[in-house]
Amino acid sequence: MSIKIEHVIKNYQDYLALQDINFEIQTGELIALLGPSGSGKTTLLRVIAGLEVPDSGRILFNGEDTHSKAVQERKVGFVFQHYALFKHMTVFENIAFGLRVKPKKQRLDEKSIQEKVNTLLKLVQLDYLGDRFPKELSGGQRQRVALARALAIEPRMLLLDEPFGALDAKVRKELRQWLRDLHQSLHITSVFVTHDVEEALEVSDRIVVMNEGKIEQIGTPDEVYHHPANTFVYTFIGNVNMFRERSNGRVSYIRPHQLEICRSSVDDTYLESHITHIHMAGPLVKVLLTDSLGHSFQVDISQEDFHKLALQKGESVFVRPKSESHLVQDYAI
Amino acid sequence: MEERLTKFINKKHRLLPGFNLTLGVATTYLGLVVILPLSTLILKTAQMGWGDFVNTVMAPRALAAYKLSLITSLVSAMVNAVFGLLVAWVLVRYQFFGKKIIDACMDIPFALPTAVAGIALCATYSSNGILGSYLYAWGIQSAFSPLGIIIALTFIGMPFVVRTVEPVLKDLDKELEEVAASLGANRAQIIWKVIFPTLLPAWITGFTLAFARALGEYGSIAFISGNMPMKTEIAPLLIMTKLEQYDYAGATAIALVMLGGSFVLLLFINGLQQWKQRRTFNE
Repeated sequence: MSIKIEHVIKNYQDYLALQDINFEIQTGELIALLGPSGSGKTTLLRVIAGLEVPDSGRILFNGEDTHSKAVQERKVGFVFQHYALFKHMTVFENIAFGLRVKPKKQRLDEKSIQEKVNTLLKLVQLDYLGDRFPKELSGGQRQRVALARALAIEPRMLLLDEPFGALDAKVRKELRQWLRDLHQSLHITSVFVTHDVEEALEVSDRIVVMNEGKIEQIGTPDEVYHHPANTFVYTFIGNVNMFRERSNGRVSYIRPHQLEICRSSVDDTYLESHITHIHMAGPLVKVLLTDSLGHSFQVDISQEDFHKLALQKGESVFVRPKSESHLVQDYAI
Repeated sequence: MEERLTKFINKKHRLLPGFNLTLGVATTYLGLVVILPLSTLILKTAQMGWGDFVNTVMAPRALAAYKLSLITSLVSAMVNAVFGLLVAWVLVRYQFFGKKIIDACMDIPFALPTAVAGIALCATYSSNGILGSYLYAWGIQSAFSPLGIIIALTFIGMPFVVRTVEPVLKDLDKELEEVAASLGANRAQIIWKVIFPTLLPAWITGFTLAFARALGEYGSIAFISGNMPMKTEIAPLLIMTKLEQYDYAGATAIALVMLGGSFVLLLFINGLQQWKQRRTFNE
């Protein structure tokens, strides 16, 4: 189902949570709402779900205004960061909840409910845990139960609020790959909120970058990473070094992997710097440097190059952009 | 060897020291404040012979008193369970003018000397009282009757349910209701299937406390019941009557039966609660 968000504004007593939000989500897309805390991303998700009412503006599902529709009628699967499982019910009953509360006429018979829940348990790879209680499960398992419960009502879209935020790093990685695969097979329109850049870049089809209640950029992970629309997106997505020119105060940005380190300088595009720290762990070596003005910055180089140069902490080296085009001048603000 | 092993297993490492000390203080405290006085009850009763004991305890007047005590306590605890839950709900969920005052009023039955409560209730519910005059006109005898006893016990027990349910209701995760709504549950289903099961343990505890309090209540009943033997005489009043007649052994015998009965009942309710908590939630 497609979702269209038109001029949505939401005020809380002390601050403006959403300032005139406009964008469209195509059927079957997996969208990430990315931003720092307080950027309004969760509020936007709740407005789409119908858990919050916008002060003005419209939300259209397949072109149909949802204003008069309560949460119950919207058929959205909502997944919370802290799972919100019903503690007094087994995993099975949690998943069956949406099926059991249907009006008598639409309700499936007991046998069909059993079958459906068992299918969902298999889908989330928990078919052996149906009679456990939520407190007996790990965080990752709980979140999969929450997802299965949301999918049970055959929602028209899936809304996930920081779904992996409460999990540890390893489980988080596994689960987001799993979510990606699940989305690939189900093709259900999905929106998830995250403040984790890597997560947004890895999982989503398109990213909506938000800040202070406004949309800063909408684009594919590739677009957002390589062609950030403004300073905020540039600094928020991935590591970035900022250089201020002494003469005119202009600011330039460049990512750590777009710089190279040399032993000698050829012309004045080379910046003489001191190595202050070297992080060896990982596929790239992260070298922290300070230039003659005392600004510190980071260069990422391959292990190979690092060993070729035989860099040492405290040494003086020369740094320059691998290509001039990488250096991005400040945006007119 | 075996002894050593069990010692080793029992001696668990604890982050906070003082298990022995706190357990010692706790048992001494319990012993001095509760067990010791109660054991004198048994000693005192033991002064009478077995035959006398059975005669006293099984006397028709005593049986009627137990029955009345039990029924009125149960009814008042049930009334409190229903309305206490409602009051707690209103106090937690809504903001309205005068909420603080209502909140403070909830604790009055805790603090008020029960005799004062008895006098106030008498003035309200007796045949020439503010409410009583209307109730009597309708043919409802609201004082000097079992109904009067229930009214007094309800007054006394009300805060227990409210104050035990309130904190649980306050801590109830709003997301549970939101997720239930997103799954299609209507208001009634959310309350019945999500909120109520979560409140159940606290609710039962509140009910138990109100019930236990009612079983032991004396002061507020003394006035409103009328103390008619076989009709409106509750067990604590019967004990009081016996004491006034210097029949100490008789009084403690009745007290012992009350004590045993209450203990068994409370054990039963607690057991029920634990069973309920462990049990799978099925319709």
